[in-house]
Amino acid sequence: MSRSLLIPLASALFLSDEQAMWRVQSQEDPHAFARLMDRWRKRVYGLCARMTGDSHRAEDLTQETFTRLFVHRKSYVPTARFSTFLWRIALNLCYDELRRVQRRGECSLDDPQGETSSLGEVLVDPEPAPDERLVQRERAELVRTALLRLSETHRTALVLRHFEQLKFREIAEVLEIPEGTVKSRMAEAMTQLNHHLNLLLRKESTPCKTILNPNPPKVTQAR
Amino acid sequence: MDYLYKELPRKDRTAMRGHLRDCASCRAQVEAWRGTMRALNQWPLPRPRPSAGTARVFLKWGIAALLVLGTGFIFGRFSAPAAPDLKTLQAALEPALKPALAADLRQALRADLLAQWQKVFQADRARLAAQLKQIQSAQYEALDAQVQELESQRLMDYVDLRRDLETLALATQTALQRAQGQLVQLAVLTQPENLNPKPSTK
Repeated sequence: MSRSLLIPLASALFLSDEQAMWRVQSQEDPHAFARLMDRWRKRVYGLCARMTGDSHRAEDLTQETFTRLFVHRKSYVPTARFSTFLWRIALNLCYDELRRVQRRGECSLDDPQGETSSLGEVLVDPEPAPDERLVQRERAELVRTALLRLSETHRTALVLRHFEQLKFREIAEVLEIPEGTVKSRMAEAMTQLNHHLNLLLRKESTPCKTILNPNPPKVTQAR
Repeated sequence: MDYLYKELPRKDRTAMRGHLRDCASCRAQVEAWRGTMRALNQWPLPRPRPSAGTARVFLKWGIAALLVLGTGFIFGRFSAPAAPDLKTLQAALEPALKPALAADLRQALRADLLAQWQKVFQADRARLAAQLKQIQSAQYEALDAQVQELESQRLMDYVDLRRDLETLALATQTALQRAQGQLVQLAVLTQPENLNPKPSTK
């Protein structure tokens, strides 16, 4: 009985991501999987939210990412880094989602008035005064809109580096491109974002149109 | 980019800083990017809703704990040795226990009786002592009365005796004085003839 209690406990406390994933892969260990979810849920959600600009979709995508992680557990190579595997799954799901939205002709991603769109609606900081909160919301909305105007390749580099704080080397590994390319994409993304922000600041209202890359890049593996 | 995101080795970073001091266009570019980074930081991420998965994990753990406890309980119930037959146990234990119990009972009874007896004895003793004391004091009082009576009797006797003696003494003195007088008188009457007797009579 003590053994049956100790093993999950030890696994929850001391397992690295790779060990946990190996357990999921080989033994379908639910505790190890729950541990992985606990560790990575927030970061995956962050990636999805920044990539799609939609908190509700991001939650669905996060769930979908972990579902897909379990379904494709056998294709994980235990020598590889778990985070790379997970980021690829999440990114591919984001690209799929963006393509689906584009196909449907939805404009909610770029529409502050859209029904589910605004992360700004949800990102209420409980502390500041109402007027301060309004300013924060407007700024956040501006950034979100500007970010969504970037191409997916540029946005991916920027989100992974700036928000998820991956090293350029790690991003290169996830996207399977040279590190130099990641950096040049990043520089380009920053320049473009700066440009879009300036544009948005100049004219307050933006017409509803989706600015999505018609051909999003595909990350290989883990599909 | 490496410089902006602090991925540059220390040596290169210093070199970069030096270059930025000299090159205005690079400095402007870096400043612009820094501004972009600050702008990006103004998009905080909303918190995800609490995970249903977490609740499920807790539920799973709860159920697992319940199962383990339940299994343990059932296992314990069934693996426990069967309860012995009470009558057999009684029969087996009775011969051994009876004398011991009887001895215990006797001892307890004896102790109880002793205590009771001592209690009664103490009470009796106290009562007797009180009575004795009472009697003694009564006797003392009676004795005192008698002594006082005797003393007064003695005094009265003494006074009577003394008076009698004094009366006797006075009477004696009177009688002696009378006798003395008579003697004197006798002497006076008889003295001349008695002193010169006649020789012719001889």
